[in-house]
Parts: sequence; structure tokens; C-alpha cells
Amino acid sequence: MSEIGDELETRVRDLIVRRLKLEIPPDEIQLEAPLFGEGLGLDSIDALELVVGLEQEFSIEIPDADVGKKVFASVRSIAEYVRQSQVERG
Amino acid sequence: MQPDPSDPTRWLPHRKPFLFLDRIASVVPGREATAWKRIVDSECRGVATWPRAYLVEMMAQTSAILLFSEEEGRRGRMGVLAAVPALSFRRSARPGETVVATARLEKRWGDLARFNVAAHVEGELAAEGALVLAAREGVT
Repeated sequence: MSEIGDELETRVRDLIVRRLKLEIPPDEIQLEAPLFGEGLGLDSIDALELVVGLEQEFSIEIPDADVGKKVFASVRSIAEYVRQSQVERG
Repeated sequence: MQPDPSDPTRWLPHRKPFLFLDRIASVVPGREATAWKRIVDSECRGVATWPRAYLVEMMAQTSAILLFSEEEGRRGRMGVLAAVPALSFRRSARPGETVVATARLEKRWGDLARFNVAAHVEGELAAEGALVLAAREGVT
């Protein structure tokens, strides 16, 4: 993984902790662990807060909950979606 | 006779004393809504100012107008307050003053919607922040 890729995962974890006011250090969030249900146990209200945060932080769009289901599988999948969106944006 | 779009009861199931909007000033469906209310003595019941929690409910009711504004009607649904991600207060409203609440839809997510809201009292910022409403079925 390139340094730029690691930095994105770090920024995503920081954003999750900041937007959801979690009381854990960002690096405790495992990159491949599920964010919803098990894992961090986030819910749909948390998902909406994350969507708004990600869209503002990275200037991307997450159009609906169907896309969101795939994007929010893990920190890694969020970072991949951000990367892909930014490439498509050019 | 066509329903009056400035009448809040056209948009919401709430009725007094739980309806906190006198008139709807404007609605841009799916985007923005503005409503106002004049505070009367009887609503303060001996307290010098209108409770700030009522400002939150007023902004929530203004937001709820936008939930179904792009459809044919509520069809028995209503918005319920699900989260308050951010909120700050600057001043209170007093009897005789008019409060103007504005709500801008920021994002829809399934049955949830996030709004940027503000309330102004006599032109001064009284409260601002973000609210999340959930659309619920089978109410009235």
C-alpha cells in the first residue's frame, strides 16, 4: 500500500472518531472490520452523519443507502470508494 | 377550494398546542422551508421567555415540511426528531416577538434526512445547528 493510500485510511478513521464523537483512538478501528452491526456497532443515524462528513471532507458524493451498504462495509472500503470517486472526478 | 399552502396544517399533523408554526412563509420542495410564529403571553405561562426547547421543536416542524414536500402529500406519515448533531443558542424569544425558522435539506438517507436549521427572533440569530428527522408511517 502506498503512503498516500495509508494516509487516506488514517483520515477516514480520524473522521469516523471525530464525527461520531467516539471515545476511542482512531487507530483502534481495524481497517477490515465491519462498521455496522457487529464491529463498531454503528447505526443508520451514524451512517448519515458519516455520509455528510465524508462528502464534505473529500468532496465526493455517496448518492443513496444502496451504495452506502457497499461503501460502509469497512474503513478500507470507504477509502477505496473515496479513491475511486476522486479519480473519476479527475 | 385549494388548500392554503401557507397553512401549516396542510403540511403537518400537529395541532395546537403542539403546532409551533403560525404560517409557512415559503417552501422550495426538497430544498428549503421558512415558517414564522408570533410568541404570545399565554405560551410563556409566567416565564419571561419562550423555552428554548420550543425553538428546537419549531425548527424540527419546519424541517418536517420538507420531508414529503416533493410528493403528493404526507399520506399518514410524519417526521420524528431522530438526532441533534449540532445546536447552539444565542438568544431567547419573548412574548410579542416573532420567530422565523428556516430549514435546508442537507442529505436524505433511507428514511432519515439531515437539515441545517436556524431560528431568528426579530431579525437576530437565536439558534442554529443541524437536526435529523426520520419519516414514520401510520401516524394520522
